[in-house]
Amino acid sequence: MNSNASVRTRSSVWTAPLAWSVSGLLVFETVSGLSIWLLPFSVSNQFLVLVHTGGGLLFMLPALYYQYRHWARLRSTPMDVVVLTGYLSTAATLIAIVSGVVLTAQAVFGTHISGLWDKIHIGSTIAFVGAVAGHFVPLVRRALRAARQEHPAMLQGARSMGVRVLMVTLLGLFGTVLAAQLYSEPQAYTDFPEDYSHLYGDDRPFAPSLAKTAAGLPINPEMLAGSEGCGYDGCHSEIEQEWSVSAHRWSSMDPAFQGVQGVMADQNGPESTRYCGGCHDPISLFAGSKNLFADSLSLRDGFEEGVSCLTCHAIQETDVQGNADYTIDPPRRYAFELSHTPAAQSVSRFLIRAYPRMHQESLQKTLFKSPEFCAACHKQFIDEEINQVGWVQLQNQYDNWRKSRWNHPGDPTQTIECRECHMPLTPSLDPAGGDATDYNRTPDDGKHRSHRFLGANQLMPTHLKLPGGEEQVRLTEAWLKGDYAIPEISDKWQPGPAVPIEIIAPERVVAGEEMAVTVLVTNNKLGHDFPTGPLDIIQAWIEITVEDDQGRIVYQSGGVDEDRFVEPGAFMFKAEPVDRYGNLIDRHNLWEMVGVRYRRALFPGFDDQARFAFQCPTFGVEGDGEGERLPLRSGHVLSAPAVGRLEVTARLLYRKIDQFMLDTLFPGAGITSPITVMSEDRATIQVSGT
Amino acid sequence: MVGAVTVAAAALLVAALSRSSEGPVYRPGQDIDGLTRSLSRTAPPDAPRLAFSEVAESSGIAFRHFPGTRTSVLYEDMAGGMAWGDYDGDGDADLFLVNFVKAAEDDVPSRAGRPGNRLFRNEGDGSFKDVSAESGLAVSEMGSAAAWGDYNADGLLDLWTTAYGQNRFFRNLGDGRFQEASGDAGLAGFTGFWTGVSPGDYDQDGDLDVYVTGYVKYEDRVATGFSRQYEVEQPASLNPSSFPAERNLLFRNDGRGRFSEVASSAGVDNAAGRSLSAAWVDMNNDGQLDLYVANDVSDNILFLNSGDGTFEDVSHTTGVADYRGAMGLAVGDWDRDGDQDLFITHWIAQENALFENLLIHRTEHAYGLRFSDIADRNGLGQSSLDYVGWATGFFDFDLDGHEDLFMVNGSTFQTSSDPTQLISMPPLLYWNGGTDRGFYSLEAGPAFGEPAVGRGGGVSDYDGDGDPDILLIEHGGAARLLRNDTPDTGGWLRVLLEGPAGNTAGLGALVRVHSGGEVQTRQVGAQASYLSQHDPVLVFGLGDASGADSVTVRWITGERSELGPQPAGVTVVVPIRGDARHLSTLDSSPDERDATHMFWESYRAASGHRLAGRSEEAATAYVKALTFRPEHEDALYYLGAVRLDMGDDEGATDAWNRLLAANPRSARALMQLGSLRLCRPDGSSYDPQTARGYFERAHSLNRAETGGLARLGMTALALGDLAEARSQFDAVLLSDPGNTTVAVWRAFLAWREGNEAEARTRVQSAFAMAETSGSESASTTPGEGDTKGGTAMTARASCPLFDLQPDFEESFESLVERLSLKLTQR
Repeated sequence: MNSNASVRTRSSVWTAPLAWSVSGLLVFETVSGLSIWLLPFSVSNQFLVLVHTGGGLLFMLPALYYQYRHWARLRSTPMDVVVLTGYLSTAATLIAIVSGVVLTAQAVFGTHISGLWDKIHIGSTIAFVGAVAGHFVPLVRRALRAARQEHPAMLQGARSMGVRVLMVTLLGLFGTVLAAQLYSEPQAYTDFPEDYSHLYGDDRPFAPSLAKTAAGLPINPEMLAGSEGCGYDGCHSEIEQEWSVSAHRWSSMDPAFQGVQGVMADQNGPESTRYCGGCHDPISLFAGSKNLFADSLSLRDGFEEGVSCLTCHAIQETDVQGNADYTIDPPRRYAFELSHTPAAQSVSRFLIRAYPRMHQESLQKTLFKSPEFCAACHKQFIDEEINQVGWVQLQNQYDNWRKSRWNHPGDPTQTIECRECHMPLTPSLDPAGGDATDYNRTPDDGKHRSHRFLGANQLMPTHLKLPGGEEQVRLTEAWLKGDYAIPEISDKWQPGPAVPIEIIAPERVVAGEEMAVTVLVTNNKLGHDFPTGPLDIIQAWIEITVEDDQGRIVYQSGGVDEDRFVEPGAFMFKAEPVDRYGNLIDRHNLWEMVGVRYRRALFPGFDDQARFAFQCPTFGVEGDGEGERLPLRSGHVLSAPAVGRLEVTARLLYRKIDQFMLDTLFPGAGITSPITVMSEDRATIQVSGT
Repeated sequence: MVGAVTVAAAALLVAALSRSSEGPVYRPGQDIDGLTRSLSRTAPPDAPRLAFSEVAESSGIAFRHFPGTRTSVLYEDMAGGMAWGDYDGDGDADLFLVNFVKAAEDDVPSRAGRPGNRLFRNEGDGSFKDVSAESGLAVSEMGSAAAWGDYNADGLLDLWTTAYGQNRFFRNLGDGRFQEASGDAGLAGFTGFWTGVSPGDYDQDGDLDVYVTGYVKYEDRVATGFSRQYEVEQPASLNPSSFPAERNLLFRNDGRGRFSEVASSAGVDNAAGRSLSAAWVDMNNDGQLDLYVANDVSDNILFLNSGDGTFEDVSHTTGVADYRGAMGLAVGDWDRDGDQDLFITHWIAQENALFENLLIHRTEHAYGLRFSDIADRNGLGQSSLDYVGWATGFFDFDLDGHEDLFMVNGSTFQTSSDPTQLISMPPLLYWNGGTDRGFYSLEAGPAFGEPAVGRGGGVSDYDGDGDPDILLIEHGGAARLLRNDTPDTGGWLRVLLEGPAGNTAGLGALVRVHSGGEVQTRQVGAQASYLSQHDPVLVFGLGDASGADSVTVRWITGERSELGPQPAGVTVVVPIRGDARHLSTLDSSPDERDATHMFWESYRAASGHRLAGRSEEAATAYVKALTFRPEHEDALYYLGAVRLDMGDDEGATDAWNRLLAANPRSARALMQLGSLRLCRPDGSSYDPQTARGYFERAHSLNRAETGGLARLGMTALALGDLAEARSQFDAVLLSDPGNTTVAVWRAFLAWREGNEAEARTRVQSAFAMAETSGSESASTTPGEGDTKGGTAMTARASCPLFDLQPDFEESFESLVERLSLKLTQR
């Protein structure tokens, strides 16, 4: 081959379609990859991810073929810097292809991409840029030299290739960016309805709730709803399943909430129900639906999802004042994320997995770990804006905990925070498993924090007939009893029942004399008062029964009558809040509450005593065996005779909603709260004649 | 001469004889003396003047059914269905019309360009917009029927269509578009002559299952077997008896819109019946959906739901195995006795049937589940002999509280002049004159009476004006929208159910409206009509009543919703969970909005006056507020309180009695009424005996509350019943040892019993308790009910007679002296 022919051949190599198309795609892949890696999250970048992935798959075989042919043709070329960098860039390309295919497969078929493969992909791209520069610069210089030596075809070939490569690259980039411009992102914020009532001030559209949106405007409900989507493709399906039956999920559909909200709207004005909406029904609140002439105070999305995934995960700031004192800003949604067509949704989910930066940055905050975060909704008060009279404290799990034995600031070996009990670690395949930033966890512990948020409502999950409701109730009952094990905090948590009771009774009493039995109640495991929540409707009480050794009841307190009311005079943990005229707040009408006439709750680690005094029955009283039957009422001796020995049984019983409230909300429906036996104790007392 | 006379006489005789035997010439069908029609009826004077206007075209509904030429094959002639449903959730009913786009002899390619099924979106102002193209529902097929339902439980109404061919399932994407998902839903592989489609949750698992009726196994062999020897008016190709019956299909939903076909195992495949429609209806009031199937030229069947996924055929034992040619079904409680009766449209020369359900009987004893066809004696039988009836339904068109009936008619006979045309017949409207009179066919205006080859038809109050309107499909013709313009109708109440995802329209729910001592009962979605779906929003006529006394809903999954009084003229939205509300888009007229604003303005002003101690101004403002909402509980409660402050005991009593009337469970009204009679012994209202009655009522409502107990103890003390007082006080103190008032009174009782030491101990411990906190919480942080002032911010001593503050020392001076206590210890 003479030198002219060689130059022509080399020139044709520059202009061969395979060469410039492969090179063009290679440059496009490189530039788009670097854009995805280096530039901020944007719609354009999301489209680039799609085109980059598609282009990569398209480019893979031609590139391999081209490289093989290139190598086969030139393999006899003596080693120099061009050959060396050629080998290096081939190796980098191969690694980028393999890692790209792996990442694509992970994003298409898996739940997340691997960080290592992502790094390999980026690293091989950088290596490729370096190697290919080393490969081409000498080649171009050679071409220039050849041109100077009057082989202009060579220069022309190189120029021509450069132009074509540039065109392929620019076509890819600009085409993608242009397509991205045609896509309109869903708007996070909307305008208030024209008739929106700013009863509590123009600058406080969601008052009396203290919740705020970052823009001060209503939020498109779709931006906060769609929790089910978090569980698609198995991504966060375990977490979504847990949440779907949790109190956070049904905070709005809870018929007790809906009932109270309706009464409040009727009696105190629909705007005032915003007070509840910040924690119970945030999607509807922020959509502006809690309005004077609204068709419905609860939108379907708000009703169905309550405190949705994004309601918590979109919170930017919280304040320890309570009453939903948080600021929410819905995160940007991925392209097509709110689309209703399956194909578009698949694309959006692919993007979330392949390009998870925004997903991770916007939805993961250290703030979420803190008790103060929970405090935004787990601390409540009413003030003049609601009751027109003055400030009254309501449930306050946060300060209970803060002042309790479970809080040792700076000492994780002794401190137990909200999430450690209520969101215990659960073995998991979730892509969000593991946590390097939590004090008792590692990045690869293979666990996630349960989003069941187990608490003390063992009524609603089954009443609402939620899938998994029975399991939630079973776990809640175990939780109430203290039977729920949490291994990771077993070294710092109290063992045993959550609230144990202990009978303190004399070993021996004299027949006919006054006797007293004390039941000791201890708040053993709770991080806050027992009970906690709305104490006007929660009831926990001691049921005590004293029987003689023939099984006849001698004394009883805390029974439940045929209409499911706790008998009058029971020793009960609850509150009796009152209105301005001293009458009971009996349907959770907090807008009229000005204080309590009586409250009994037990601080963490504290004891309380229930004292029951009665007359020990006399031996040998002859009768019909039944004794004198008195009306069923706590504190009464129900039958007289006793022989030899008295058996005392005490149980701590709990139910979520009192019977009056249920009868009011669901007249004639015969609904009653299930009663859970949280703990029990027994004692025997010998009775002597003298 | 003799001859002439003889001829004349003969002529006269003949004339005389012929005159005596000759009347007017008889014509077939003429009225003849001596023939009576005991079953014919003329409308009574109190019948309404029903009026309908045909407004399809002016409302934007342009539709032509069957755009081809008939070729006398059976499957061409049966079709023409439609479905009302609010697919876009904007509160009004949209309209889906099913088309049959292929004549039998058409070749397949020509059908592609033919207009297919149509979706018309209700624009909310009485007009419709054709959104077929963008919706993705404009499928061209040989369509039969359609039914909306949230089959995949995503909260949106999806659509199921049947055809001479395939069933199809269209998923609502929520943005106005639909996507066919028949394959994913499990509908593939069922080819046949499918007619009616009825969604219902027969297994009560919260999702909609679907029953599809199959008519005949059409065979071309028959279709081509025309007689060459005789002139045949109706060829065998039009006679359903010529073909074997097609089975029916029952698709069980897995909760996510994927179906399994279980008709055989459930026992409802009805292989011997040529079925046209089927109704899911609870016939025996056991809370489960039974299934009634209308079969043409074969016995109808009633399948009773066994509750375990299977059904039992009880048609013959219950007397409802109608053998006639059944087409359409109406279901309703026409006689308002609480059970569901059936009306069935039949072929020509077969009276329509009104099967009265004897499960509950107004006047006689109950019969169990049995039916009796009472069409004849109620005016529905003989009058229908001339018609081939199709779509039908029980609806109260004049809103008088009685369900009337409409039926769409149209012959299956070809006209003699043009065998490609079918004979038209007018639709009929029967007014329900009550159980003692039955039904009367009434004129309903020229637009209504216009003959048509009717087939499908459905009812909706599409324009939201409270009266039911009718959409009728004419085979080979247009859709007619018959707007109800009847003047002087009664009042109405619309009930819109909001079911859970999976059954958003609440199909299967039993709704009862109590008004004026009568109960109207409807089961949502039970009326199958013919190939059609009525709007699931129920319209109840209230006659002259100003409203309904109560509304109850028994949802198909067992939940119950109970509503109190509802005013006439509103749409009440009843969600399965949560509070019912009125649809404000229809009832919040500007005047009503003003009234609402004025109510809150007055109410808030009143509260301000009350808290500032301006009782008179407060009372005036509360009274003004109550003119807008006479039963507002808080306003009544506070009105009583401010009147009491003004010394107006009578006015206070009146306000609290009104509160008690508005809410008989108002414990606070009872407590206030009782306190008024107990707490001021110097007042004219002092009457502890009456007070006890009020407190006992309050206590019986909420036995766990200490307030009622304390008041009962005080009343007993006032009445001198010390044992009773002690019992009540002891009960209070067991729950609330910190109740200083009760503790001191309990000490007083001990002292009266001579137990001075006990009295002293009790008072001491009560004071100790009062000193600590006043509440029983062992807590280091503020607890529920804590106030910045430390005690509840109640207005003043709620019961001066018994209150220890501020005049404890005076009230109990003697007690204190005897107990040698220093009250300053407090």
